[in-house]
Amino acid sequence: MKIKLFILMWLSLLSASAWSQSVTIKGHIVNEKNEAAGGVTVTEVGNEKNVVSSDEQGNFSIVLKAGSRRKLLLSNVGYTPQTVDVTGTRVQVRLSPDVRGLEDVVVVGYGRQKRITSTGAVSSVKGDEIRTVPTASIQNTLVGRLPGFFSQQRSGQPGADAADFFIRGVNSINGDNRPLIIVDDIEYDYTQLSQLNVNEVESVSILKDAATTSIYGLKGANGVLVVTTTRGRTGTPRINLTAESGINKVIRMPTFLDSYTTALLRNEATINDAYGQSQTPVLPFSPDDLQKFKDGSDPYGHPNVNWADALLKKSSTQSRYNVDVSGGNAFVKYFTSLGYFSQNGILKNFTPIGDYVNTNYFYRRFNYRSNLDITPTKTLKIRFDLNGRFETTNNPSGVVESAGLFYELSAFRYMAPYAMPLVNPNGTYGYASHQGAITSNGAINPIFRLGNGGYIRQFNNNYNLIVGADQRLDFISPGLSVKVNVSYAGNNNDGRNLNRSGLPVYKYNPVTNSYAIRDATQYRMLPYAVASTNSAFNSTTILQASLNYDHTFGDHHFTALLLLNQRNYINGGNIPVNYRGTTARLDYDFKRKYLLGLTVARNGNDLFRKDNRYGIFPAISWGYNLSEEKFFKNLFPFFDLFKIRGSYGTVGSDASYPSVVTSIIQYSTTGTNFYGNTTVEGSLVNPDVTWERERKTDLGLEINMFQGKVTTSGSYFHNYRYDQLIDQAGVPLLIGQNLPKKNIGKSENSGFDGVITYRNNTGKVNYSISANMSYAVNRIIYISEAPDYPYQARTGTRLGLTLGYHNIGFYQLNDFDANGKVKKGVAAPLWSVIQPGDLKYADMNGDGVITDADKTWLSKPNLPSTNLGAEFTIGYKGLSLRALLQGAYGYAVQVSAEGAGDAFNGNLRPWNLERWTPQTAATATYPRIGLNTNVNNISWATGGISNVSSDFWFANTWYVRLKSVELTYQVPKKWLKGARVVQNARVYIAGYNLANIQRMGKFQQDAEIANGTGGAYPNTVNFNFGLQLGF
Amino acid sequence: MLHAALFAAACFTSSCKKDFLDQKTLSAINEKAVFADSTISLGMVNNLYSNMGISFNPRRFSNTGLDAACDESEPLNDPTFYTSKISSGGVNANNADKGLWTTTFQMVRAANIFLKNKDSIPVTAATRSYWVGQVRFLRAWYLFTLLKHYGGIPLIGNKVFGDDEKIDVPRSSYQACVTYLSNELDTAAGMLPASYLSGDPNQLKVTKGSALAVKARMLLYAASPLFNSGPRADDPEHLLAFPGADPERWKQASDAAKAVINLGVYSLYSSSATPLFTLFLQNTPQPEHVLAYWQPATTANNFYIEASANPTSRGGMNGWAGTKYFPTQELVDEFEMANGLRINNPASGYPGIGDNMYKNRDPRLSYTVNYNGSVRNFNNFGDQPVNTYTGVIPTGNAAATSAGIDGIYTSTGTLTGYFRFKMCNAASGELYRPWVVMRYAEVLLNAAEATNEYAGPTTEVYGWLKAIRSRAGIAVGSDGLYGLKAGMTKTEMREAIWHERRVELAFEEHRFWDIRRWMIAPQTENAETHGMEITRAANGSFSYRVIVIRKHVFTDAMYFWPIPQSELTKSPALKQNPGY
Repeated sequence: MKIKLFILMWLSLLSASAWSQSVTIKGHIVNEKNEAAGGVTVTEVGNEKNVVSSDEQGNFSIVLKAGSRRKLLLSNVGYTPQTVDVTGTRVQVRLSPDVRGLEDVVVVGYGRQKRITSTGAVSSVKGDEIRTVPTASIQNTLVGRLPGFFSQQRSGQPGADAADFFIRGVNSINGDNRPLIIVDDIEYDYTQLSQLNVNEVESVSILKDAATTSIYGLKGANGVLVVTTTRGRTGTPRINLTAESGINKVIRMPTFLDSYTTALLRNEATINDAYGQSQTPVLPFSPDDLQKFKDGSDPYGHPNVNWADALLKKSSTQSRYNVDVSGGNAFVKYFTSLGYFSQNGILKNFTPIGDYVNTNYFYRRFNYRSNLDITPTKTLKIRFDLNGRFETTNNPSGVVESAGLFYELSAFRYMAPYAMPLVNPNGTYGYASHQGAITSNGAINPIFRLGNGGYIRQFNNNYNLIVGADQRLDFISPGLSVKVNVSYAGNNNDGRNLNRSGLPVYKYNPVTNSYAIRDATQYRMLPYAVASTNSAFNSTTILQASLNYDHTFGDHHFTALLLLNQRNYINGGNIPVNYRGTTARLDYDFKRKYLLGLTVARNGNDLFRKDNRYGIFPAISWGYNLSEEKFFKNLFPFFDLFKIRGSYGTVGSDASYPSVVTSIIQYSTTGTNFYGNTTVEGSLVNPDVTWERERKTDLGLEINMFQGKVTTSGSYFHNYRYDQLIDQAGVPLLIGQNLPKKNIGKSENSGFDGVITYRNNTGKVNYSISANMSYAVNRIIYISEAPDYPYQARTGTRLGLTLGYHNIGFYQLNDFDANGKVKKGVAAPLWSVIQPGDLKYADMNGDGVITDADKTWLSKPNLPSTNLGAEFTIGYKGLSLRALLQGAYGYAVQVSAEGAGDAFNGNLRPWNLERWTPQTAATATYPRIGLNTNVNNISWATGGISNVSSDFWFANTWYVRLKSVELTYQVPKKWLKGARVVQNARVYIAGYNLANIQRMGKFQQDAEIANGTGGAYPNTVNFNFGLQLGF
Repeated sequence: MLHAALFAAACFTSSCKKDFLDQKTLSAINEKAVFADSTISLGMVNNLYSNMGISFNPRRFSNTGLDAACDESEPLNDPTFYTSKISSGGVNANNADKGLWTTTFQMVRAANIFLKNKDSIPVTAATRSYWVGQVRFLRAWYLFTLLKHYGGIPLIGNKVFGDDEKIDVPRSSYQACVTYLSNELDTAAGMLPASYLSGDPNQLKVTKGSALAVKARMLLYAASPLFNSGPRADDPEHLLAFPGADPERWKQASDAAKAVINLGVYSLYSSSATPLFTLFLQNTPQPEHVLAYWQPATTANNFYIEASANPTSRGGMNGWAGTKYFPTQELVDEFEMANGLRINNPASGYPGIGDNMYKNRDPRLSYTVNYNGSVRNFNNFGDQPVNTYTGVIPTGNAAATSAGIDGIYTSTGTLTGYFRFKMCNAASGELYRPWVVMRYAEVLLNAAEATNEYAGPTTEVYGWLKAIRSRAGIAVGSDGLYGLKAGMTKTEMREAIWHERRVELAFEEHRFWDIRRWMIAPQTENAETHGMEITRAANGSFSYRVIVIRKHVFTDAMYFWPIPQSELTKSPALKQNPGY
C-alpha cells in the first residue's frame, strides 16, 4: 500500500509541473579521441524519467522543465559517468574513459550488473579478446582466460574439436557436471556452443557461485556459461570484413618402429610366449626375412611402410571469412553478420582422378545473424534476433575401425609396417595377411579404401529466433519496466553416407611375379551405395516474462527482477519435456558501499512427480566496498576498488534425470520358461526422485589499484552437493528386488580461483600481464556402499577414479622356481601363465592369488585439479601482440588399447625397445614382449577376460601450452586516405597451440586429449594470417 | 503494483500448471493389473520355477558344481574357482558367494507378492489352491536350500519389504526353520496333485510327492549328527543345530520318506539296458522323477553338462582353460565289483591297478565316469576309446591322438585321469532333458538311512537297497542279496547305505552335504585327493601310478557357509556363523 500511495503522490507532483515553462538543451558529445560519441545516455538529474541518448553524430537534445536543477548525467559503457551543469542552451562534453574499471559491466543471469556493485563470482572475457584465436569452437578460446574454467580439448578433428569444459571442477557422483550454457537467453548444448561464430560474440561470462547461479534454480548447480552476442550501436553504418586463412599441423603423432625391428621383436615375443613349453616355437621371421627388412632389398615381399607418412599430409588448411554490418539511429540499431568457416582434414588425396568424391575430413560452417533493436516509442524497445548456422562435417567412410583412423594407424592388425607394400607394381593394392592382421575388410590397403571408400557426411542445421519487447513503466513507478521474450530454436541433423564395400585387392608375390586376389568374387569396384540418415527435428521454445525495477532513492539504490521462465523441448515424436520457473531477485546498495543481493528461484520440470515437482533455491550475497569508506580512502588512496564479497545459497541440477519419475512398479510379462509364460516384478521405484542440490559458499575479494593499473580478484569456494541420485547399496539382499536410485549421495568440491592483471603504458608502449589460476578438489562424502574389502570403499575418494590393479613392478627371475613356476608365496594371477618380465600386481587381500578382489581405486581423476593461464599483451602504435600460456596440472591419464603401445595389439613404439629381458631386468620400463594374447601385460583385455588395467598404464600428467599468440598491425589512418572507402585496416597473424611442454611419462599421447586410447584425431597447431577491413 | 504483478504471476503459474508440467500418462502393468488377469498371475507361479536348480547346478561356480568342492571331483587348478576355495578352506566373509542369498530372497519376494494377492485372481477355488500349493512349495524349496548352506536363516514369512523400510531381520533357530518349512511343505502337499496324466499341460510341475520328498530330505538332514550334537557353545541361539539330540527325529524322517513311497506313484526307471545312463537323458517326465527342473525351451539342449565335463576331444570346453572338473580316484574306488563286493574285499576278484582295473566293476562306474579306454562317440570316428594317458602318443587321426588334448598333464586334458560321464550324452552334442533334482532312488535311500538309524537294518531296509542294486545291474548272487552282507549290524548297514548313496547319487549334489551332516568331513576332506596317472610306452603298453592331486582342508567353520560381509554390514541383527 505504501508504494501505491507513494506513486500517487509522485504522479500528482508530475502533473503539477506539467504546465510550467520548459527549455530545450542541445548538446554534442565526443570521446577521448575527439570522435563523435553516439549512444550516450543523457539523464536529467533529479528527474530520471527524462532520458535521451546521443545520435550517431554525437548530438542530443533534451527538454528541461522550468525549476529543473539543470544538471545532466552522461553515462556510457566504459566511460566514467559525468555530471554536467547546464548554463545556456548548448553544451559540449568530452567523455573520459573509465581507467579505474569501476564502471565495468558484467553479464549475469537475465541482466547486467556494474562490477562495483556486483556481489557474485563472475569471470568474463570480451569477444574482442578471443576473436582472432584460430579455432573453430568458441570453448577452445576460453581456456586459460577465465579463472574457474576447466577444460580439455579431446580431439583436433575438424568439426569435432570442441573442448569439454566444467566450471570450478566437478562435484557430481553420477557424472552430472556439465554447466548450463545460455546464449542470449536460449539454452544451448555443448555442440551448439561450439558452432557459434566468435565474430558474433560480445562477451562470455561464467557464473560460479550461488549469488549468480541460483537464479537458474534447478539448472544452475554446475555453473553457467553466458554468451551475449553483439548488438548494433548508434552510429553511421559500418561494414566490417575479415578474411583469414591458415594451416594446421598435428602437434604430436606417435612414432612407430620399422619393419625390421618389429619383425625382430615379433620373433622374441614368439619365443617368450612359448615359455614352459617343451617344443621350440617356429619363428615367424627367418634370418633371411630379417635381412631383407633391414636392407630394403625386397620392397614388395618385405615392405617397410610408415603409414602415417603415407596417409597424412604435413599440414591442412583452414579459413574464415566474416562480413558484418552494424550501426543505428534513434529508431533502429542493427548488427548483421555472415560468417563462413572451413577446416580441412589431414588426409592426402587418394581419390582417383576424375572422381569428385571428397573423402577427407572437413568441416564447413555458415553462420548468419541479424540482431535488431527497434525503438518505436521512447519507452518501448523491440528486439528481433534471427540467427542460425549450417554445418557440414565429413569423415572418410573407408575407416573401418569405429574408434577412427588414428586408432587404426596405431593398430598392428591394420597397419603394421610390413603389412603390405604401399602399392603393388602393377598399380593394384594389397592387403594385410601377416600374423596378427585381421582378415575382415579392414586389412585392405588404407590408401585404397580411404580414397575409394566414400564418406560419412553430417549436416547440422540450426535456426534461432528471438522476439522481445521491453516497455518502460515509468508512469507507474520510475525505473520499472516489463519485458517479454519469446525464443525458438530448432535443430535438424541429417547425414549422407557414401560407401563402397568389397574393394578388389591382390597379394603380390615377387618371387613368382604373380597376383592372388583376396576375394575371388570381387574383381571390380562396385558403385557407391548411398544411404541417408535423418535424425529427428528437435526444437526448444522458451517464453520469458519479467518485471524489472531499477531506481535510486537518494543513497539507496534498488534493482529488482521478477521473472517467469518456461521451456518446452520437443525431440521428434517424443513426449515433450517441459520446464517452468519463477525467479525473484533483489539487489540493494547503499552509496555503492554496502551491497546486498537476494535471489529466490522456484522451478520444476515435468520429469518429477506432481507433488514434489517444484523446488525453491534461495541465495543471499553481500558485498562491502571498503574503498568507498572515507577512512579507507585516506589510509590507502591507491585503491580504486577494494571489495570483499560473499554468497551462500542453494542451487539445483536435474541433468541426471533423463526419464519420467513414476510411482508404479512395472511388471514384465514377456518372459517365458519351460513351465509357461512368466511374470516378473520390475525393480522397485522411487517416486520421490528429486533434483540434486548444491550449497555453494563463496568468499571473494576484488581489488583495483593505481588508477586501474593493477586489478585482481579471487574467490575461495566450497560446494556441498547433496541429494544426489545414486544406487542404494546399503539395503540387505533380503528385500529380494533391485532397488531404485535415491537422492542420498553427498560430495564436496572446494578450491579457489583468481586473476591478477597489471597494465600500464610507458610512452607509446602499452602492455599488460595477467595471470590466473583455478584449483578445485572434490571428495565423496557419502555414497551408499557395503564394500567387501575396505580398500574398495569409495567414500572419501575423489570423483572419477578407476578401479584396477596396483602395479608393483615386474616378476623377476628370482620369483620363479627351477621348473619355471611362480614360487610359493609369490602372488600370481590366473588369467595367464606368469613368467619373468610380466607385470606384477599387488595382492591386496593377501590370499596368494591376484583376482578381482585385489582391485583398488587407482591414481588421480582424469580432470586437472589446477588450471593456469597467463596472458601478455603489448602494443606500440598500430602494432600489438597478445600471447596466452595455459597449463593444467594434477590429473592422470589412463592409456589403454592401441594408445598404450601394447605390443602387436598396437604397432610397436620406441618404448617397446625398453622391454624387460633377463639382461635389462633392472632398467626395463615395459614388460617382456609377448603377442597380444597375453592379457596380463596389455592395458586392455581383448578376449572375454576381465579387464586387467592397472596403474602401470596411468600417467600422472601436466602440460603447458602456448595456447594462442596474435600479432596485429593496425594500418595508420593516413595511409588509408587514398583508399577512401576503407576507414580501417588491420592485418594479423595468429597461432594456436604453438608450443607444448608436457609430462606424459613413457606414453606418446597428447596430455590435453586426456583419453588414452590413441583413437582421437590429434590436436593441432594452427597458424593463421588475417586481414580485417572496415568501411 | 509489485503486489499486483506478483498476483498476476501467480495466476499465470497456477492456471497453466495443470497441463504444462503434468506428466504424460504411461501405460504400465502394475501389481493390481497382474492379479486381475489369471494368465499373467499364472506367470508369477511359473517364474518361481526359474531358479529351482540353483544349488544342483553342475556349473554353479565357474562351470563347476558342489561335487568339485568335496571328494567327488577336482576342479581345474584355479584358486579363483569358488569350489576350490571351499575345499581349500579359502572362503571367508569377504569373498563369500552372494548368489544363493540373492536369488532365494528374490524368489521369496515373488512368492510373497503372489500370496498377498492370491484372492483377487479371477480363477476357481481349485485352481487358486493348486497355484498357491506350487508357490508355497517353491518358496519352501528355496528356503530349505538356503538352510542347508547357512543353518538358521532369517524367516520373513509372507512379508514383502519396501525399500524405505528398515530391514534388519535376525536369523531364526534351526529348529524354528525346520518346523516352519515342514508345515509349509505339508500345506503345499495338501494342495498339489499326486500325479499328472501324460500330456497334461502342467505335467512338468510339482506334485504332492515333490513336497513330501523335500520334507523327507529335510527331516533326514535334521535327524543327522550335525544337527543333533548340540548344545554348541559357539551357538547360543541354536541357529545351527537343535539344542539337543533326539533319536525320534529319525522316526519322523523315516515316516516322511515312507509317505512318499506309499503314494505309490514312483518307481525306479528300468526301461533300458543301461538305466542309469538313459534315465538322465529322458525328455519326458518319468516315474522316477520326484522333482525335476526343466530348462527353458528357448534355450533347448543348453544344459551344458557336457561342455564342462566332456573330454576336450568330445566337445568339452577346450577354449582357453579346458574342461573344468574331473572325478577323483576316491570316487572310482568306491565302485564295487559287479558281484557287489568292495574292491578291498579279497573275495571281490579286483585285480588291483592295471589294465583290468575298470573291468567287471559295478556297471554304474561306466555310467558315472570316463576312464582310460571308456568307449565314447567321437564325431566322425564313431565309438572310440577315451584316452587319458600321458607318455608316447601314437600317430594317426584325431581319435588316435586324442590323448594329446585329453591326456593327463596336457593343458586341456584331465587332471585326475578321469572325466565325468554321468548325465552326459554319449553321442556328440547336447540333448534336451531336465536336471533331476530329486529322484525316487534318493527317496528309497533316505527311507533306508532313517529307518536303519531308528529301527536297525530291517527287511524293509534291505529291500530298498536291493531294489537299487538290482536296477544298477549288480549280480543278484546266490543269496539274492546283490552282494550285501546278510544280517548286518546297524553300523554295517549304515556303512552300506553311505556307500550306496555315494555311488548311486554321485554328481547329484549329495556328497557335499552328506559328509557334513554325517560329520565325516573332518576325515574325508582333510585329506589328499588322488588321480590315476597312466603312461603309455612306445610299444603301446600302459603303466599305472596313483598320484596326489590336491590336499583338501576342512575346519569346523566349514560345516556352514559364511554370510557375506556386505550383508552383515547392512543388517546388524544378522549373526555370522562361528569361525568366520
